[in-house]
Amino acid sequence: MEKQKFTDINELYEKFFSNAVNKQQKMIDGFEILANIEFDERYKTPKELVYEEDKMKIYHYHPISEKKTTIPTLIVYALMNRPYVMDLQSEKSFVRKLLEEGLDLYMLDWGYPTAEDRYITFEDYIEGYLANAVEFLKKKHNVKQINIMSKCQGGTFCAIYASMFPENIKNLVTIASPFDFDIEDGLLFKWAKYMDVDSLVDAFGVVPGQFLNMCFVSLRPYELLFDKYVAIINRLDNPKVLKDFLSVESWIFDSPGQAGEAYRKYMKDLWQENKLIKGEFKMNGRAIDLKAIKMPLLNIVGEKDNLIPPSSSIPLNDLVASKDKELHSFPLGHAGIVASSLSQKKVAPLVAQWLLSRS
Amino acid sequence: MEKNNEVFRQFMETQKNMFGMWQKMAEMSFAPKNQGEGAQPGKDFMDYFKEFYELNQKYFAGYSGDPTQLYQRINESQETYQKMFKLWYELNKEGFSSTSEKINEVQEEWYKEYTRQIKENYVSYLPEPLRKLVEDSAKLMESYREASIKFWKPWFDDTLIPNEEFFKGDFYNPGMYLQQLKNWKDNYEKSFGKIMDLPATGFNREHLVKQSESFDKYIQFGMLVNEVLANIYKIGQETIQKVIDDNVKMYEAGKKIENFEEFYEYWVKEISSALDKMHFSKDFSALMGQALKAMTDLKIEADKLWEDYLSYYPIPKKSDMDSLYKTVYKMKRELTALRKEISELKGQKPESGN
Repeated sequence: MEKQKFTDINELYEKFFSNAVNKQQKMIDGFEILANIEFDERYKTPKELVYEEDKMKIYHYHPISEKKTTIPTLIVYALMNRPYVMDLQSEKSFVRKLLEEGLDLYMLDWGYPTAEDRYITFEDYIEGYLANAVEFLKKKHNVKQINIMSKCQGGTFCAIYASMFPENIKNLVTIASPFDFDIEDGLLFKWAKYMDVDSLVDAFGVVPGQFLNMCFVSLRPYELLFDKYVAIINRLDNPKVLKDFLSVESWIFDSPGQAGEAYRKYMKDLWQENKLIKGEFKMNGRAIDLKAIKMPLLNIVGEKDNLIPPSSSIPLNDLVASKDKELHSFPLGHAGIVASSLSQKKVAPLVAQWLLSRS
Repeated sequence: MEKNNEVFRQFMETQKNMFGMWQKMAEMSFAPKNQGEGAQPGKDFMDYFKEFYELNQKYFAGYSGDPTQLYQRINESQETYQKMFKLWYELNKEGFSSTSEKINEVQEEWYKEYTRQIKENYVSYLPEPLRKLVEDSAKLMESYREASIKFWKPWFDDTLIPNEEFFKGDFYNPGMYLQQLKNWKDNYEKSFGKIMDLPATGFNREHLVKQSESFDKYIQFGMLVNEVLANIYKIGQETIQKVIDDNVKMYEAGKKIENFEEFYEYWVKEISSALDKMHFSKDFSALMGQALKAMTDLKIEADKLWEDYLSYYPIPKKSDMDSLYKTVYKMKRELTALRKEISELKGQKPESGN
């Protein structure tokens, strides 16, 4: 039997040319828009530098509404991405929303390590820089405790800090942070087990950000390396969409390198041996017990987070001794949980209200 | 009795040949593409140093998502998209049969586009020096083959020299390529790799050892990185075949495939799922770990070799700088501890920060 042609061939020709011409037109229009677009609004919510130590900086955000608390809140982000994702665009800024809700907000920015920073240890980050930042804020505000809102690796750091110095923390918020590193649904968790971390650190000193980026895009290679650029063609003539796309794109590929010695301990003790939740993790010989965390805890996870899946974050609530603890889940990804319209509408108000009611 | 230095002489000759090979590899690896392939007479050591320096300068100069780069990336993706459309078009034209010559031709064309995408996009996310190494690995294999035939053939059985298919440099038959790669790796470890471990002699002994080690790491890295890429290519080839077969079956079962967008989305879903499955597998995770180790081993050995070259120049080396950084780090920690101690003695809280 002769095979039936699926569609009229002339129709296909027409479709092909119309598709090509249409896309070409979009590309031409898009080029014009791309050449003139102002997309860089990152880190633009007004703030001032109030503390500096080596590459670490602390910024104080100018209040934009009446302060509703005397307890300052310090935002602690991961070392491997830039914290301005929380302040990427004014209309979606997580930071701006927290300010509108009445928090007194500080941002800890770890900066970009350079070759001279290769010997900075994990302990230096937590017992040094982070501890000094907390002490600075306590002194500045004349308070005994401050609030901490942490994201991703910053959450792991802050949970360790909070278990070492619980007296300094009034409330702890962790967003999309890894605690259990022995999970099955995270590709990075799987690959990390096969990494020769010593060799990586010895070879580079400061582990390149591009290396980390390659790992991140490998989570969804075809979507992240190809499909998203195809998808954007159809919206190239929309400046708002392009602005959003470029803002996120620039943030994704702005990954600082990792100070080698700190990275070595972080990867080996946590990602490979999962020592933190086993109660085997030590800082300068001191055992870290997450049960020492007794302050109120708000733990937030993103259901679509494929970088730090909820299965890695959720166990924290069972590991701490806090009586006042909450776990919230949102249908968002790793970046979207602090950089999307939904996060601005739902996540930021939840964090602000939770902190204000306990400060 | 007259001494018989024949064995020693032969061994030194071997080392000399090795040196020549390494030079050729280095020239190929660091030579700009527009100056042609292979050895470049008149190119002195400082040229290589300059190129090496430039590579380091560009270390963090990868894709960062600015508008111009984005436009280029969109253009590249658009080409692939159009090739996919062409495949869809041919499928329609032929009445959804996966057996026609034209379909095979377009499928092959699409597959070439896929490998180009992987080579140009996936690889472009690697740190710059690694990127170049990956791009050059196929050339390196070819160079190695030539060198092997010239220098080593008389000593080895022909089976040690890889099959011609292996050196085509393309990846259009990744299944066979992977098998060839495995055979070649075994052979290398049994033969040439062992020679790399032989002790060197003479005034330049240490330098020759470093060269041999770097060369060995380069080969190991090249093999593993090719294995990773071949696995990715294999997934692409298998997936496009599956998508075509599935579509033919769907068509024959009377399920109408509405339009190209649907076909494209189906393919994206399939390729993502196949890559996901491969990425999560124990074997691929282990392979990634091995490739990373090979890359870092190579960097460590290559750094030693470069430092050896640079030891005659009045410039500080990386190891000198690292030593200095360590001293400064220790002094800073000591200073912090002393400040704390003084503050405690004064009964005050320590001043921190700059």
